[in-house]
Amino acid sequence: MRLDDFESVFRSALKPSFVRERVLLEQVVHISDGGPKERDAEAQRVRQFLSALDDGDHGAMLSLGRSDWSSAQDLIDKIKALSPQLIVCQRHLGDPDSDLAYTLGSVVDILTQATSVPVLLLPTPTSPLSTSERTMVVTDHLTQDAHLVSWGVHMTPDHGVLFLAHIEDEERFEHFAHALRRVPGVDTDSTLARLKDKLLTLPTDYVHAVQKTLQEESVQETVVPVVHFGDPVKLYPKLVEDHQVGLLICNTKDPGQSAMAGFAHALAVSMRTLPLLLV
Amino acid sequence: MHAVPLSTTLIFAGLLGLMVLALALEERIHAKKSVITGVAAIVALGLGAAMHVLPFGAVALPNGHHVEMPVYIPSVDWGVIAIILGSSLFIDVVSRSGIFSWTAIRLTRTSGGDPLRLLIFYALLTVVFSALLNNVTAMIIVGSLTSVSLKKLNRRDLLLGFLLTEGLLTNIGGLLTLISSVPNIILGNAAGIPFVKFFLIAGPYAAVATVLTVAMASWRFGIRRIEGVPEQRQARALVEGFDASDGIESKGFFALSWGLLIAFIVGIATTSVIPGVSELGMGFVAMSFAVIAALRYKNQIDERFAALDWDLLFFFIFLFVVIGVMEHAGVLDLLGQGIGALLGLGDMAGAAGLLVSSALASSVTDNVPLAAVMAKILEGLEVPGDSHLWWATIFGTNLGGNFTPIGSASTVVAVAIIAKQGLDLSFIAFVKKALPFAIAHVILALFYVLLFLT
Repeated sequence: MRLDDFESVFRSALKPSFVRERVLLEQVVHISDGGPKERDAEAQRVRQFLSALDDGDHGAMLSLGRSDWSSAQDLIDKIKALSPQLIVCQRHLGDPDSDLAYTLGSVVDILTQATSVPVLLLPTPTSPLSTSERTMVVTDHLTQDAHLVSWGVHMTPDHGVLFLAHIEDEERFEHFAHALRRVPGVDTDSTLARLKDKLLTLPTDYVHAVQKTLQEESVQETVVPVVHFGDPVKLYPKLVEDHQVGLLICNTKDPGQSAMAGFAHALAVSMRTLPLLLV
Repeated sequence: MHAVPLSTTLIFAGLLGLMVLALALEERIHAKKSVITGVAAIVALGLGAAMHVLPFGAVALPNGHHVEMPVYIPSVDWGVIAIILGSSLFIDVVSRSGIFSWTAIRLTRTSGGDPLRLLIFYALLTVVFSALLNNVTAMIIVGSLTSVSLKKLNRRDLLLGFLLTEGLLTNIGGLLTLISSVPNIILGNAAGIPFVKFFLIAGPYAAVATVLTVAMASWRFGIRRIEGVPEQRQARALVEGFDASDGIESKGFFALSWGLLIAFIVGIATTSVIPGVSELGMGFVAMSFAVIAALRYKNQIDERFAALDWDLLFFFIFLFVVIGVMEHAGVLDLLGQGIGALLGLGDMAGAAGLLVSSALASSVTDNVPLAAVMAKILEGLEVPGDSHLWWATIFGTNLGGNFTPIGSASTVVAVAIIAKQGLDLSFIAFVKKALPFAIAHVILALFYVLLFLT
């Protein structure tokens, strides 16, 4: 075996660790499109929903009605001034049509990108905001997402189930496989099989690290790995349905803002009947 | 052997010198060892035939029969080749079970991430692996683990000191047994030193030299224990991220490999006392274990063969051919006269001179040709197998590798790992850092040979 072989052996033996970040919801801002009556009714539903998820572990919630803000920029300024840890709003906030497909609405699009505060997106008004004990965190780079997973842990009730889902994009893999098949001197089939195996092992190992940490911290949640190859946009809705997930959490605030240009955005606009937490 | 004119001998001596120089400049001329010695072998054979130096004709067999074979075939020490080939294949196969990486990771975890304990454990690992495997493989295993673990511990500042120390220790571990290094195999076989006797004589030196090296490394490279309890706890948590069982694909093969490795060591150690096997030699034992281990990969054995270091094997074969021609051309006799003069200084001074000159010679070129030439010369001078002069040569050829980065294959690997990790270490910087260690090793060896083996 060569130097590179042994380096690979030892790198592989070095398992990932998970350090939970403390999620503190001291200030939650709820933004509504409605007047005082609708705003308060919606705020009440949001309070119940959040309390069921985090066992009441959140602070004050300030509700803003349609008369409290004038434009997206005005809203951003207010949020900066309030410094909340969570924003809760409807999709298509500020749009007259609350059931548009293929978009979250201009205000929500701006909110997810212009602030670093996670946004809890409520389902369309016609869908119930029902509480669930089953939360799913979705990402295509789970091993680097302690922040996202920590939110998942916080937003899963005691004795609930937290699914940590990682879908390795098959199309992207095939793109590299296509090039590798044209490199002489490489045992293509064996290399691709081993690479595929490793791509699935790494996030699974990370989920095991999460399970270990939560067990050490006596967190009463069941953490389940859901690691597959496939098309994330097609597979995630199926997984959500199969696992009867009540809250979906995904990353939208990565430094390159690539998440909202990729599957996270596609998921967010298509899964309109489910509450989404965009971290 | 017929008399060879001095002018002819000098021509061949020049060729030998050129080959040694090319080996020393291997990296600069971008040529592998086997190619350098291959070219030298072809030129030497061609010149030898043209200048009527080579004794063509049938070769006498032990049963009195004669057999026709090319003149270069008997020059090769096939016993040595069988040991290297067999043990390389055996080690390659059993290493795939994960036994070496498992051991290395277990020790890393046991260290608790404390730099000084890690240095001590990696030093022991380097010495033991060098003794059991070979210096290069030992350096690769321990060096790569060192890079990964120190990076994990955020102690890259200690990486250069660790890697340099490990490189130096491979040559200490390489002294431990008869099969630990190629010079040992060549010189030990030529002197007829049994495996156990070799270990009993070299062991005490290797133990003291290891302790001395670790103490010096700790002092020179500032490798200290972690003081605070929180820091100790944090370091322990970091190394506990290593999963020793990760590289084990089959528990059955893992257990079998441990059994085979122990049996291999016992087999090699007892070769000289088992009737029948003693005649077949260590090469037979090594090849037997290689074949048994290879059964694991019976359908993919071509992959295991491909993993062998063919450059090294052809290097030895061509080297033996070159030395065979040099013997016929009178070059070894000429060198022997010089060595004879050195030995004429007396028991103590002669041995000391031999040890120091062997160390200096092997510091600037490969120690294998030196060992092969010295073995032939000492045999030619009819030095008895139990003479301390063999030990002076063994210590010198092994320890000389610690003076420069090109002195031994394992220090070359150490420098390659250092460069791969983005650390800056020039030839001169290596010599500056390694010199105190190398001098200490040679002085210790001088004391040991002169006080206990003379």
